[in-house]
Order: sequence, then C-alpha cells, then structure tokens
Amino acid sequence: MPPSDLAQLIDEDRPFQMRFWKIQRLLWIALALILLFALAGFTGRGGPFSRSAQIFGKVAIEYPQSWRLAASDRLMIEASGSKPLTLSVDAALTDIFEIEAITPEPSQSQTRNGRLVYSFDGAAGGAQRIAFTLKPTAIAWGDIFLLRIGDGPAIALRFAIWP
Amino acid sequence: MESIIRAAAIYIVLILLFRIAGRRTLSKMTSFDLVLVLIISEATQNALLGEDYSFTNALIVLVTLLSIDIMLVLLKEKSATLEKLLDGRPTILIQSGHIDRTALELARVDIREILASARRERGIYRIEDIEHAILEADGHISIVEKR
Repeated sequence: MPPSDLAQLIDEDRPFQMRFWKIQRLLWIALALILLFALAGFTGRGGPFSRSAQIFGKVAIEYPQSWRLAASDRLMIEASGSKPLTLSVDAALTDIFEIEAITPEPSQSQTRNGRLVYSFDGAAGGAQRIAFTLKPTAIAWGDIFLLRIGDGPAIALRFAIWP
Repeated sequence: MESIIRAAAIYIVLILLFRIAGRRTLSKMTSFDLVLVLIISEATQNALLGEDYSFTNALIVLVTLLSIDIMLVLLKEKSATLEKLLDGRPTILIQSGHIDRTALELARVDIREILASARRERGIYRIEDIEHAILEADGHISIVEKR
C-alpha cells in the first residue's frame, strides 16, 4: 500500500502531529517551570520565597506572600519592648480572611470605627509575639491594607491568595 | 455557582494535563499507572468539593462534569479541528514493514510495546512479520500482519 493511501485510510495528519509533539515538549518545559515556581515558594506553603517580613518601627510583621484559598496559615507580629500593644484589623482583612485564632489571646477586643481592635498586655520578658491564624476565604492579590498598629496608618502587605 | 466553576476548572485542567502528558500515559495501565490514577483522584477530590461535603454539592459537581462531557462530545461532532486537538489522530509507527523511528521516539513508544501488541492481538512474535503498526488516538497500538 502506498504511504499516502494508508495515512488517508486511517485519517493520519502527520504535519498536525509533528506540530503537536513540538508544542507538547514546550509544555513539558512549562510544567517543569511550574514545579520550580512552586518549589521556590511562590505558590505558598514552604519554600525560600514563601514568606515575607516587613518592619514598621518596633513592630515586625512576618506573613506568607502566597496563601491558598481555604488553607490556614499564620501571620506573625513581633513587637519589641514590653509595652502593651494595640492592633486594629481593617475591613479588608475580614473580607478576605477568617480569623481562626489569635495567640496569645488579646486581653481586650472591641469594635471601633468599624474596625476590630485587639489589645495585648505587654510581655514580661520584653518582645511579644502574636500569631494570627488566618484562613483565606477569597482570591486576592496586590498591596492590601490589613491592619494598623496602635493609631498608626493602615499597613499594606503585598501578597496573593491562590485559588 | 462556585461548585460549577470548580468542577469545570478541574475538568479543563485534567484534560489539558493528560493531553500534555501524551496519549500513552493512561493507555498503558500498569500497576504504577493505577496508583497514579488513584492519587490524581484523591488530589482532585478536595479541589472539586471544597469544604462542602453536602449531597447537593456532590450532585452539582457530578451534573457539571457530565454536562461538560456531553457538551464536548457534541462540539467534537461539529468541529473536526476540536476533535483533532482534544483526541489527536492515529500515527503510523510501522508502514509496509518500515519502522518510523522518529514517530516512535516522539510518541514515546518502544519497539517492545509494538511487539507486545503484536503478540496479544495477532500472535506475531517477530517485528519482520508486521506490515503496519498504528498508534491509535486512544493510545492503543493496532497491528496489521504481513501476508
């Protein structure tokens, strides 16, 4: 049987197949890049670039740069000095996160100007570490104003919540 | 609505990934591949259902998956291009006794797999006795014996 007859008979499309194989190999590289991206921590949950830290005066905030929808993670706040600390949570935080836990628990929590305000007693030993366990409830990315320290301006944190 | 989006997204991602992986991936169901399928189903389960384990959610997800499947079948019937893109076309691996090494390499098919198909389908033991070998769109190898 001549080559073209068999190809026609079985409906082979070799030029299409060759193009497909070429694209397939390029997509294999894309899959490898996605893996490297995830291993580096850009999709969250571990990896050298998974967390970020910012310092605002005497307060340092450490948080995941990448969150995953419905997967809890911790936002850590470390304040040097033993003075009491007040943190107020902006509406943006409660819009996209569910606060699952705050450790240690605040000595007082109240609503002020539509914001949740948490007060923490100063730590006896100096620095105090507060952990907010947050569960993302919506997809979001960019600079998002989440909280304020004392009566200071709203702090914008850059992160993404992956679906 | 979220359940429908989730199910549709997972369906599309799985179709794309299996198409990228190649048609040989699922046709060779060795015990290793079975484990792979089980892990894939386990990994996608949570993404499909989210945190909602209700009967309603499961029903919506199932209806969405079946609807997309039916829709794709109907679309493929109408569009030959879509069918070609999603299902692929058969590829000739051996023609008139001549082995197409390039096609074998690119389709990731081993000559031993052709021989295994030849034994299973036609009771042929030697490559010289094969007239044509065709890798079908579903990943199976069809053998035509030399007369």
